[in-house]
Amino acid sequence: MTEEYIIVGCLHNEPSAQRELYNRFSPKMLSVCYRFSQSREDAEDMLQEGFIKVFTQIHTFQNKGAFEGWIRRIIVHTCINFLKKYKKFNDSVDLDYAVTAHIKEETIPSIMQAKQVTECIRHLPIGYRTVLNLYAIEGYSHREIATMLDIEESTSRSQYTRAKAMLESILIKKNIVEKPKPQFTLLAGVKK
Amino acid sequence: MEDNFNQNEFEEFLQHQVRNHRMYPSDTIWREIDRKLHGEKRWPALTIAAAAILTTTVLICVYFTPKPNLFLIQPINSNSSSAISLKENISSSSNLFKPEVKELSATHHSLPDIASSGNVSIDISKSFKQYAQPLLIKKKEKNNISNYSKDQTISSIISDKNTYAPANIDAEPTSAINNTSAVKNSLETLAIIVTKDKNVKDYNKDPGKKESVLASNHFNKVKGKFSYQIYIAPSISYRKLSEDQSLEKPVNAGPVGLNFVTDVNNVVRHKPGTGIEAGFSILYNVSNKVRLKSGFQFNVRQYSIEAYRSNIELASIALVGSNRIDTVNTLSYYRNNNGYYSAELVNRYYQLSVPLGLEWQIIGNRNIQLNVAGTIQPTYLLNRNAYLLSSNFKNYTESPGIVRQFNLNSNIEAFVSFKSGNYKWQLGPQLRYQPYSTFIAQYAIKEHLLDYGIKLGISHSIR
Repeated sequence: MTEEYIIVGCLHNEPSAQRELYNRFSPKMLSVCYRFSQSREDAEDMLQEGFIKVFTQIHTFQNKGAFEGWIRRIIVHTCINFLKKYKKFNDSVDLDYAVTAHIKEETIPSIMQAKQVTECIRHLPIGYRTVLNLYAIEGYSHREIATMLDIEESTSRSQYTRAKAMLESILIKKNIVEKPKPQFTLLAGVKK
Repeated sequence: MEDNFNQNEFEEFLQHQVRNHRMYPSDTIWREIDRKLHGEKRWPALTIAAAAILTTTVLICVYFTPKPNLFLIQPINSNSSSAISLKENISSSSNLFKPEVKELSATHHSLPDIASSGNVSIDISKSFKQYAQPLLIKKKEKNNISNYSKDQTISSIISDKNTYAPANIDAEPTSAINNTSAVKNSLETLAIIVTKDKNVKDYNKDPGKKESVLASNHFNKVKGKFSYQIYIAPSISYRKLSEDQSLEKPVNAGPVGLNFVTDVNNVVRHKPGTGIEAGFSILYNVSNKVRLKSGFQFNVRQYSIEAYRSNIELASIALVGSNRIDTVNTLSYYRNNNGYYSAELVNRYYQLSVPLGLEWQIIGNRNIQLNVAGTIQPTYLLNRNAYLLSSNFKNYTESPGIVRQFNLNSNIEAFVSFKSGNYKWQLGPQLRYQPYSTFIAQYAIKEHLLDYGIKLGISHSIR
């Protein structure tokens, strides 16, 4: 079933096309939700809410960009709204906490690197995690993030810098990336 | 510049790692989305089954509820014995006589006691003829032959005044005449009925034949306990997957690590299929309510799997032994996720089984009964070409050696049976479950099949 056929089917509210769309994109989108959420249950709630929006708003898709990108934007916005709705994003995170935050090693399974990185991101404090997800992975600018999260642009930048520093230390600790060298490092941009 | 370059590198690293990550939502998420988009879906089979059970229950309740006798007159004269009231009741309502005779015949007092009351009018003979014949035939077969000596004839039974003569015939002479004539009429009727019985005639005429007659009766009796049955049951086949956690090993324990990160039920997408079972049974009546059954049965069970067509890929299946892991490598065209286009794989099993079990009649009369039954069914699988999930849950492949040839199933059912001519029909829901996995014990994913069906059967007594 081609993407065009799925879209047309979804526009006609056909269950088979909707199921096909869900089957095709739900694994990736659940991963997105999981990075934003506190738990798998939250992630599945976000996914459910997001896909309902996708199906009810599909007539607004104008074929200008990638269909997957359009779905991803809806899912990301759903995740942010979910965090705001349940006041999960309101907890402010300061740098002191970020530096001393301890992540239990046994909570991070060492099965696949992609999963490990995802788990490391998930164990960041929620404010850091959200900004990092939006900026580094989803590609939003700090201005857009500030608008989405109702914060200052400078706050977004500082949160991102701290999130990055914290994530780097976790990744090094888990031996996912090498320790930075003075000449060329993978994460040399991180200020210590 | 360097900072920007390195910063981009960090983000690229994250994107590269994270964007390849996949997670598989549980089926309940889709069901919930579907429900919100299209409303609650009703499963028609459930509604039909519920309606059928409800209707049957109501019909049975209505059928077996005793009807109130609107013409019943309570005895007014209470100064005499119960025989007086018996007379009044008999004369007032013939319906009332029916249960009375049943009760009396059951306690072996029918005729002499009625006669001994001295108050029985001539109407008794009519009523007796009308209602008591079948009961007395039974009585004749069971009691009279055994009670009387071999040389006694039926006429001597009739003329046996010690047995049938009313004890207080002189107490009321006017009615006693009627009484005795009524009793005599009745007994003559009985004699006619009895003499029609060939076996009894032979038995009396030729005592030498008595053993063969008895043997013949015994054979007929045993033969009459058997019946055969043919049935068919359309069904819906489901499967339940589980993982054998006892087989879990460290990832580096073998060439293929078992993937227990995700629940296998969250990874697969399968749809129930329509199956059927048909068979032939022999039933043996252990008692009036319990029957043993056994026979042969052919089953078709199937379900479909949603998958994707892809390039040919290596699909490995880990078989975990007691102290080692073996790997079966196969080639697969089908992925669980993300292929060129979607494909539907059908796992269809053809099975032969030998059901062995019991039927129990809960309630009912000669014409309609409510029953429950249960069987265990040793099962032989005729085909072994089922699609299996590879150990990393990524591919579907076929490996006949991993599918069990012999298995065991269990079945429970409830049904209503009703008599139509010489045949007995039955209809009711049934549940069939396979407690052991379809696959061999070394394969970590366990599949248990479950069928819901409606069974229609017809049986006939062997005589």
